[in-house]
Amino acid sequence: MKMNIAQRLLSNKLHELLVQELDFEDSQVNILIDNISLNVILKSLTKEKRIEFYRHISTDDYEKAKTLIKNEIPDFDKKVLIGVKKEFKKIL
Amino acid sequence: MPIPRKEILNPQTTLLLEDIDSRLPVEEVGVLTESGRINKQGREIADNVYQEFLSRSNGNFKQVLELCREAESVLDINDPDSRDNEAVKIIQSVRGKVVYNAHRTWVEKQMNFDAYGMGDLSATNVMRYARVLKADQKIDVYEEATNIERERTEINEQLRLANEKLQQENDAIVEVDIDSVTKDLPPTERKSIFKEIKTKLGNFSKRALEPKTRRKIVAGALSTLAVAGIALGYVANLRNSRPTNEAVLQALNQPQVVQVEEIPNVIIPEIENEYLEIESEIPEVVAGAPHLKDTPTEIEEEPQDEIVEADREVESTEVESAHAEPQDKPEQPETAEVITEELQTNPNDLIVKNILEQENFEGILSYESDHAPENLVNLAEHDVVTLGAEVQVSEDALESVLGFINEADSLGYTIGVAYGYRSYDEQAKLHEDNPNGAAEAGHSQHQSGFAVDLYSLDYGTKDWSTMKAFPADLIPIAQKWGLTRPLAWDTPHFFALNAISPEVLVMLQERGLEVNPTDPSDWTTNFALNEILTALDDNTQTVAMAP
Repeated sequence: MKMNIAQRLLSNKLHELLVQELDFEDSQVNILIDNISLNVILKSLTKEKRIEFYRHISTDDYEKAKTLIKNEIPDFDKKVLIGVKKEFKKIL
Repeated sequence: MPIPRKEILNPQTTLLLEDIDSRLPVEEVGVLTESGRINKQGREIADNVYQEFLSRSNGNFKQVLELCREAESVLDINDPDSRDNEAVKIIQSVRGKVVYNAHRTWVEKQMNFDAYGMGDLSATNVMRYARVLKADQKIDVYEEATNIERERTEINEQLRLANEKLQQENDAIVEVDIDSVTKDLPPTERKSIFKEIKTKLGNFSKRALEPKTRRKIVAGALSTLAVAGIALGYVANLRNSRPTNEAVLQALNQPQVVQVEEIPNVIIPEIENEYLEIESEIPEVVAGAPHLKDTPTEIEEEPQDEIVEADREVESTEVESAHAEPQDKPEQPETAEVITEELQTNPNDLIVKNILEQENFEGILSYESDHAPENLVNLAEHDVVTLGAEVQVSEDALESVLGFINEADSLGYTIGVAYGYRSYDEQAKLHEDNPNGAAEAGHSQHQSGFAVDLYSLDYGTKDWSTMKAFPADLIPIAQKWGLTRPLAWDTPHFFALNAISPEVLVMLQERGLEVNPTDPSDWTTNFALNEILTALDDNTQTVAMAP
């Protein structure tokens, strides 16, 4: 199968992510997924909920922040997945 | 002590020599060698110089090589105690790195090696592979490698820009929030709160997704990209087997004695040592490549049911995630098998492959009256000349249609889109008006959102009164963008194959179907496409109904 070099390079990055238990700090792809997930969080929450969310993370209460996300954005994973797909389609 | 040098033409060469000079130890000469070879300190200097000058010349291998050659030519190596001698050693080492990395970059692409452990990328083997691949063709490896590097830089830049844009969007939201709740605080305090929240948000987003979810996302992205080969190669690598790579076998099966125009002979022992500790570890490259041939090809024999099941799992995450609770599912061990289940080819490829295995195609396309693609986009909003204010296509077909129209424009053609997606009702009306020219409702490819009717207009105008038939010389361009004209007599009608998968075009050709038939009585391709669309539609319904 002949592949576009850009696809190969990007998939190399994805490969790195998978191999590194998805925590490959230098990878632009990793940062992209982080930014997309944050974007989904901020855009899906109402202003009041966002403030609550900031309060949780400013006290390092990540568990409460996560619970808030789970309750407020039940389809969080789906939204992030769609975001990732969209960005990748744009890039390639 | 400055290096004595003759007249130098390129200022970059002067810079190279000065750079080396500044990195060389000041105290004495002769410190970079051990028993005639460059030592660790020397290799480090060479590595830094190589990195510096490769980035300085935007990844242009050839340019760095030329700089090295020029720099070397002006140094005096006759005096064994001079600093020139030291500098020459560094330059030789840099040259070796350029040659190795250029060939490696090129060979990796040619042989589809990627990062999956395929092939031995020691200096000796890279040069052997390159020699065989080049055969007697006049290929400028440095130029090709430079292009690959450029593409790599571009994709990194695009990723960086995408990141930056998202980050700005996020920051803007946070800033407004912080501003509004800290109205009474002094600006400096507000700023510091914003800064703190921003950092913590960054940390949180890293933790927001569990590795398992993230894997799913990455697998989904891989499926979007349709980089099936990569996924399969990766899976194969996980299973400690190596996929049979056609390019490698083909290259290695070629006769060993080949005519080579010019192979640079600058792989100096230092470089080789750096990449390969023991010479005997290099597997002998022989015809037939037994070490590759003997490897199992499990991945090709994988039962298709398993792949389809796994595909459905990946695809159906979108459908299911709204209803299903994650904890309902049994906790899966995070082992290689989990990844292998999630990383699969574009699911459509398998469906298409199954359809194309048939001997004959009945060509039945039957959509329900409520069938409509979810991701319709209006072409008029993408600066496309359309007949009427709204001509929609599926987002999956957008890239092909826009790409083609833009390229046609660069060749002096204005292409207008008369029709894209047509609903069941619209099709019914059209068929009523023109029973012979338009398909019955539910039986038109237009209902898929992947078909468009294209016409040529007077260049630079949006005037549909100048409408002409689709120019025949644009057919190859259309094909390049994955657009096919399945019926020779229906000249404006095009179908975006890439909307299904980039592999469909290849698969149709491999099946021996005419991608752009010229015989008006030949309906085979059209029938095959109809069946593929029906199968894809059925598959979606199956997934949607899954519990």
